[in-house]
Amino acid sequence: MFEQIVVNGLVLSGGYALVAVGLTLTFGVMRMVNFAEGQSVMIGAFVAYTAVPYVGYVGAIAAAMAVNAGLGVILERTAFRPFRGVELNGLIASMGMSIILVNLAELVWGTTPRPFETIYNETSITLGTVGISVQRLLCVAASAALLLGLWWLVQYTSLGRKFRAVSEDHETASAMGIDVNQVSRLALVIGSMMAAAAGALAGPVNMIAPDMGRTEMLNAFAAIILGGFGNVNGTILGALLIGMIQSFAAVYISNAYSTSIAFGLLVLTLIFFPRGLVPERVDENV
Amino acid sequence: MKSHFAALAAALLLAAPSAASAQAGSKGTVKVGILLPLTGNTAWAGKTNRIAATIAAEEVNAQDLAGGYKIELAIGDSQCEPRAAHDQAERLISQEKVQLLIGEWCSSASVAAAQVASDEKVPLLVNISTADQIAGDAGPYVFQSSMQNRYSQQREAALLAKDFKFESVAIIVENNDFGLTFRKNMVALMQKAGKKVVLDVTQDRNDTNWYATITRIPASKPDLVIVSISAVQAANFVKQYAEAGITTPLFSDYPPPPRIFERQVGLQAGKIGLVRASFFVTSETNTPAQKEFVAKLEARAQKELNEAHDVTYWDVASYDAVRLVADAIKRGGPQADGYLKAMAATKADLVLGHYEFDEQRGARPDGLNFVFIRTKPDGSIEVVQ
Repeated sequence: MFEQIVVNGLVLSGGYALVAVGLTLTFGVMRMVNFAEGQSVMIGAFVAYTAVPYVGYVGAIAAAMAVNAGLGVILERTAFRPFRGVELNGLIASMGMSIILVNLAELVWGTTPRPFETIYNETSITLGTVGISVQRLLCVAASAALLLGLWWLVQYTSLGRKFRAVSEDHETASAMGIDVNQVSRLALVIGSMMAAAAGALAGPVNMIAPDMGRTEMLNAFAAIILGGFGNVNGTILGALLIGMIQSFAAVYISNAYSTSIAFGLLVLTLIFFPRGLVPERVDENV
Repeated sequence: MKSHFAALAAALLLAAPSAASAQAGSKGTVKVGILLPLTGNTAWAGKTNRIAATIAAEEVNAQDLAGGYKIELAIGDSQCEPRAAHDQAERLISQEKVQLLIGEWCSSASVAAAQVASDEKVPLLVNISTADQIAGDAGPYVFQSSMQNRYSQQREAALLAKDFKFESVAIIVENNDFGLTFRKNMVALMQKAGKKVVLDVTQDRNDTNWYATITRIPASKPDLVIVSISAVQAANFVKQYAEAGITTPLFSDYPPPPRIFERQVGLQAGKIGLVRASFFVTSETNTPAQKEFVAKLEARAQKELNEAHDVTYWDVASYDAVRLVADAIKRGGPQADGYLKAMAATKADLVLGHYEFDEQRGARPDGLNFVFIRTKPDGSIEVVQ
């Protein structure tokens, strides 16, 4: 049973981490919270669902990420740039966008939850006494690959250096010739693309519906707080811990309260590590 | 002379419909609040329930079925959540000035709405939620027209004893009023029948990841798995159950809506051979009233929501609830005292079946429909019993 619990925890962690790094990237660069990130997950899932018959599953993931890149541009232009420096207004604007996205999805795809089947759902690998669908294993592998890619981008590319510079001090970065608006837009675009991948990967594991994405959002916030707000590496560590705690708690303590247990441990951790497990050091953050 | 009579008869016939419509509303308008989930993860069901209730109200007004009163519906989006149901019930009473209430969908939300109804002394008809004793616990202002869990579980246990060979069971439910009353009743029934409950699990209603629960099933080695999970969650569960390759027979309480569920996970359910209870399923054996209702609702849902819809038990219960309220107004008026007495004396044949209430203001189960269905390997449905 141990292997199944670990795989389940990794599936949860992967989804949370993809959402959380998008959120933390946006926060690190813009100091604003994107409350529409959960709905970006939902849009990603629906776009992939719609695209699968035409371009196959891998193509559908790419299509979802491409559409969400556009969504990121729209979000940056409407809910973030106009409110730069007035964080509360930006927060409300992104909440408003999240509601608009849900209503839009209801109009386009209806309210009845739909099954999102891929060829990877149909094949299972037996671990111990329970089968694990290839789709779940794909979720783990793809999440890891995307997170590794993002880490590499932030650490070793010119764009990553710009992210870090704007994160540290956007006025100085601007004075040094960095286009802060462009960097902010790219942060939101990458965050939305990560959310799309999370939706396209996790969508086939459950039903997809316009109200999906909320649980992922809540757990992503927990991961960010646990890892240290604005810190990509800490966020990934936080997501891993939250997913694993939920998975083990569900089996060994209680399914009914697995989320409460995870959040209880989060509060407990924050009592001893108030700035998260990887405390914020601005120059190393995004 | 003959021609005079003929002219008079023709004039009376022509005047009849307008006289009837003039009479509906001649005693005034009764505002009825309906609590439904129009957002959240059960919104897909709430939207057609609203249409069903609207059709019933239109018929009541057109045919003067409320004894000279016209019914006006006010909708509250209660989201299947206790807090939202409480707030919306308060809003409907204080701002919309409703005199009567119907709803909610989820049992925990209905319990919250019943508390408001009792405090504000506004009669409430709980029409969909099936947790035991919602009316009995809430007091004299609350009635429950849905079949309570304890009755449906007696029927389910009887079917299990007859059609399934098992000595041990796993019982899996949602952690809310609906699931917990199911669990309490089913555990007692299984123990009474000498069956061993080897796994007894509750899971958070919003947690879509059933894999942890499913992982525990093979280790506990039950002969049968019994679940009571809300509609969408049931689809998630069955999908993950099938993917996990578990072959233990699965029996479900009534929530998965026939055909809608089969479109979601019919092949997976068919692979397992899922058997479940249902209060209503469209079939050739439907009564004429049921066939008429199905035709009306499907056409209206297509027009208003622009999508095909398979009628659910919840739609039928929403339609019947408005008709029950109208019938009680007709016999007792809209004031609480008269209305409550009239509701208690209800004897009505409506779409789902025959409604009467017991001394605890819960619907008597004898007249209400209850069937068992099996999903076949091709994803279609067969009625087992």
